[in-house]
Amino acid sequence: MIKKTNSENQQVEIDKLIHEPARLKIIAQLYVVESADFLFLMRQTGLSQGNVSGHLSKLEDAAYVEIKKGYIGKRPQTIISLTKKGRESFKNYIKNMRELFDDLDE
Amino acid sequence: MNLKQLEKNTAAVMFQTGLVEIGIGLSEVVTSLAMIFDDISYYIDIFLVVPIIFLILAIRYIVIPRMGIVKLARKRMRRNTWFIVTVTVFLVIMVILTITGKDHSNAVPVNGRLIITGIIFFICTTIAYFLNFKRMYLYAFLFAGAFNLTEEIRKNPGIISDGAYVYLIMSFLLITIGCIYLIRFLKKYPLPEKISYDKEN
Repeated sequence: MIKKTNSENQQVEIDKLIHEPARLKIIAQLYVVESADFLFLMRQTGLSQGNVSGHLSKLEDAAYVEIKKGYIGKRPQTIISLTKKGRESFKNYIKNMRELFDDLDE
Repeated sequence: MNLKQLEKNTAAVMFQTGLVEIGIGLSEVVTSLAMIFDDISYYIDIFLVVPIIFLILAIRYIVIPRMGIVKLARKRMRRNTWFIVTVTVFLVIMVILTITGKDHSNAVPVNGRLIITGIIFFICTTIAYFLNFKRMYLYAFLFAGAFNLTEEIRKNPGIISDGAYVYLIMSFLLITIGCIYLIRFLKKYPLPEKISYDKEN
């Protein structure tokens, strides 16, 4: 967690796991859908296969995403969805980021 | 990062393939041919299943292997279902108008024409707005223009033999546009090599 203070000197926690740009893209994409397969996530985020795999591993370890593996015919398919914890964490992340920038003069 | 726009763009991913245009174009080809070849129109109408089969196969064998699969949020699914129903009703109305309009003496009177043009615009722009399918704003003009031109031609028979040719030209235009988008899509999203999530990476 990164801790910053807002204008009222209250500590605002920023989830470092979500804050990483590539993971933020992945989580944001998963947040707006119910689930997506690995290829769709790759295409929409523009990240490479290795990149997406690496970030998904970290998110899965933190129980932010649920990953189900299966097959369509002979083709492997991996379906990824945000867990309830993942969705709540992302909502909190958005809230904290907004709080952090709320009082910033333009 | 605009989540609302991200969600809209995700839901509109299908429209970049051009398959919608090709599907509508193929349907119009069939209905136009049914109008032109009056005597065997009932046999030609059977071919309306061709666009449907084409869409199903194209999505299964062209789009999904290149784009992947997404399950949209439930709220979006409910909205999409509503608009699929709207599009279906619209297509059915157009088919009925096309089929019943085969009798040249039954050109739609001006007031009726305005109403139908209004309906066409309303449905198309609603679809364009809620499904984030921006090209549908343009197609609203195309469909309305084709309808009005057809009705105008029916008032003056002999200049062009049948208003159905307008729909045929419109359908070829739509198919061409769809093919251009499809080729772009195929170039942008080539078939990937084996893709799988590997936790060890």
